Amino acid sequence: MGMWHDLLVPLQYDYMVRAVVVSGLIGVVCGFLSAFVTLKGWSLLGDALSHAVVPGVALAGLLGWPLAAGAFLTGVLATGAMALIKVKSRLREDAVMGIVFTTFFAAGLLIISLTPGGVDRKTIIFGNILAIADRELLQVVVIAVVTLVVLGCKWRDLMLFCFDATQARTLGLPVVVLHGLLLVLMSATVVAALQAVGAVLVVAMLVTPGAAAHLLTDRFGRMMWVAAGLGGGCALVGAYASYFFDGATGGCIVTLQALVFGVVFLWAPRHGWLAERRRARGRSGSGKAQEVRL
Amino acid sequence: MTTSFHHSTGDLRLEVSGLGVVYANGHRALSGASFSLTGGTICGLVGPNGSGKSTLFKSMMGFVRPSAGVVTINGGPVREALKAQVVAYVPQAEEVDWDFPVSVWDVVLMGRYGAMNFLRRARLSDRLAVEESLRRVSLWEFRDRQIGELSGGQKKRVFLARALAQGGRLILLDEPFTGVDVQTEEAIIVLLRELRTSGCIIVVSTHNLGSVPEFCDQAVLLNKTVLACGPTASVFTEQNLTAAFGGVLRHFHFERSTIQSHDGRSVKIMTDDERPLVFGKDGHLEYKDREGRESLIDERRRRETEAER
Amino acid sequence: MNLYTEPWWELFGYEFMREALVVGVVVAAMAAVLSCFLILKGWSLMGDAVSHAVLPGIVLASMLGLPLAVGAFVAGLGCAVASGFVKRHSRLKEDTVLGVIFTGMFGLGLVLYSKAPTVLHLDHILFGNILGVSRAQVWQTALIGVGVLSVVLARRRDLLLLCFDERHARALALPATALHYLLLSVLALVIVVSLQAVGLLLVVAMLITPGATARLWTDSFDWMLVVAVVVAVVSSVSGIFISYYVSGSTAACVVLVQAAIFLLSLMGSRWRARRFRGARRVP
Ligand SMILES: Nc1ncnc2c1ncn2[C@@H]1O[C@H](COP(=O)(O)OP(=O)(O)OP(=O)(O)O)[C@@H](O)[C@H]1O
Ligand SMILES: [Mg+2]
Repeated sequence: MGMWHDLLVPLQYDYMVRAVVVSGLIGVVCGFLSAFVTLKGWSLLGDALSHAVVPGVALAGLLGWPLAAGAFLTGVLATGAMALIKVKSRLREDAVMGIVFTTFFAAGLLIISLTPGGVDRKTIIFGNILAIADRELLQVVVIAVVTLVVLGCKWRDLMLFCFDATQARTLGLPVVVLHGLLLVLMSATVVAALQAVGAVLVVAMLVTPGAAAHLLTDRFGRMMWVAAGLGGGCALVGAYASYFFDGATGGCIVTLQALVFGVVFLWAPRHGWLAERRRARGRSGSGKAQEVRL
Repeated sequence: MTTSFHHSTGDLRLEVSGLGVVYANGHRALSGASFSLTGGTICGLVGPNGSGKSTLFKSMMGFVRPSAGVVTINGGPVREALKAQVVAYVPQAEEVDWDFPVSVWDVVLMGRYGAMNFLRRARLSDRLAVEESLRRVSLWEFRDRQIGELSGGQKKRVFLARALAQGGRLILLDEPFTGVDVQTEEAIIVLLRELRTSGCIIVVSTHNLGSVPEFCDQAVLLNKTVLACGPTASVFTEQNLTAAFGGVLRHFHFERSTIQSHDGRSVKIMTDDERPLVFGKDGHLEYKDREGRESLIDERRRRETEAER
Repeated sequence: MNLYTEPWWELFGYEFMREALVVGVVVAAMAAVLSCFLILKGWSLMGDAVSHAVLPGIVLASMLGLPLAVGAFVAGLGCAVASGFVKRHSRLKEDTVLGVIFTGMFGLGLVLYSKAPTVLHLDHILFGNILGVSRAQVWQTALIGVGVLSVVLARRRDLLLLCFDERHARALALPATALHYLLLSVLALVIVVSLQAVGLLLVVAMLITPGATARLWTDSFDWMLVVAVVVAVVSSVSGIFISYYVSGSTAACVVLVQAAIFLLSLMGSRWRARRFRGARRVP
């Protein structure tokens, strides 16, 4: 009785309820998108974008702009810089991304350290959904709704783009537009997720649900739904649990996601580690042969 | 079987004139390549490694920007033809993520996206087209397999099916026969013949010199430029091939002293691949090592003689 | 405010500044040497991942009263090993797996930190605190630095082959697995040592940018090592000075100076390329 009572305490607070609902929404949107991000191999890009928006957020906080506007601006700038440097040098893509995002991130941290009255460093790095302002809340909801609508209409085109861009061009689809669309959706959700889990952990929201879902199904449509469910569920529960962990919302959400991933990795019916071992020992006749990966 | 879902009818024309391609690293892969093809033909594209076959395909698709010359399809630019779903292309090597969570059915259905509405919801006609294409490459039983769980040859057939489902009338196949067993190769050739009958242009690059005279009406010999083009019989001469391959080919001379020859003929075999091209006294002999092929060859002979008449 | 206007050479008079410079230089040199290998092996993300993954190790170590460096090292190596395991036994791409695991570990670190009854400064772990190093830390950094540098430089040919073509290394019967783990351990060690100087959020910059800059200057690996070390040391020293004068984050200043040098090198290499091509065109 006492324990149940303790567990229900967070729901007595409006700010907690609000944080839980908003986190869930962000989790669902990021989950949908994570299906594309993991399959396209854009995990590192997600990480890069989430760090590159930091100076934008810091500046927007100083100038009184909406955070999303500043974040979006530097996100686009960083993407452009990465593309430019990649074309102009012979460096590998991952190195170029690393250089650009650390530079942007460092610039953001410098701005924050130079302006003590501006945005709080902790808010940007770890998020602060428990104290989200109404204006930011509105931004998050708008971003979420727009992203969901766009994905609902165009997910098949984006899937083809991720799977085989050459074929998309052969069919006369506007590949450049699709590429840009996916980038824009990603930057927008990064901005939203920043509020919930902070710059360092955004990439988890954009990768972990998709990775777990990929181990659970062989159909893209289903994978998208599974990822959205996992993302939303973990965000809901994690935000709720953070009440008991000193408000470390981002840490709770992401730890939960990683735990779910761990469970899926071990026990996924077809692509899990235990299933693979079972097959390797030949107890189950069906299924695909174990492949050796390098 | 009819090709019910192939889009517009009417005459199809592919024209490549003065095409030159220079890659970003300064390598000149093609220069001054010109030829033209009209509807209802299978054209073999032949040349050694690095002669620019794949480059030619890519510039026909607008994937590499030519430094000189133009490609027109039905008199218009390539981009419009792509929009109108006229062109289907199967690249030499599909560089896709084989763990991608899509089934064979999904992949072939993607071939229809260009013809679908804004939301890309499959209609009955799309599903029928996919089913017909899958049956034609005999992969219907595999439709629910995840694409990574197929053999190399089956994967190739999936992408061929996707091109078929798209219903393009200009079909570009970059080395469709590498890594494909004899039976499948024959099946593909039969398929290409059907497409030709329905007025498509099919351009096929291959290293199987021996099979080119068998199923291609026309041939283009390529080595950084077009060395010869036209009806296969006139293109596939020993002289032209030697010029194109410049000593790359294996030559085997069987003179009277080396083989027991009953009719006193001398035979010369040139090959770039496992299927040799066999030259006799007057031009190439078709390669008749397998049963069931003779009819195809005879048919082509008959057509040739009719054309001559 | 006269503290901030004194000429830079007088700063050497301060003990804390001398110690900061020593730590900065050693860390920069170590990270720069390693960055040359990471660039060639395509391990930028690995550096990012390992650096984030040390957090739970540090928090746990401080809860258990162990040396923080030990906890950090074990956690960092654990992240790399776990990612390798998951990668080998699943259909996921390497960057995805790394992303899942390092964020999970970092998140766990934050959760643990919220429950840790310790005097651990999260800020110092994340952002570094080079102006506040202790004498013992200077010695620790210098010793590890010399050790790491000598091991890596002595085995640089083998490591280079491993980075360039792992299969070939195996074909030559080199102990590729051992070398792989050697490189990983060195990576974890360098990150642990650098935490003091730049903090775990920006360590990855030290592990990418110097090597990339050097790659723009030269095609020879030995020269790459030299250029990378010079670039890193120069940016480290000037970054520390700049941060002192503007009283901003030290790590951020070091990283930004590195980025500026990278940008100048990139423009320089374009300019050289253009001049070279122009010269070729003239017969
Ligand atoms: N992306 C590229 N950048 C630079 N050079 C290229 C590129 N792609 C091809 N080349 C060069 O262009 C030439 C033609 O290449 P292409 O792929 O068209 O040859 P191919 O005839 O298809 O050969 P194969 O029979 O091996 O498929 C080759 O010398 C090749 O090295
Ligand atoms: Mg080719």
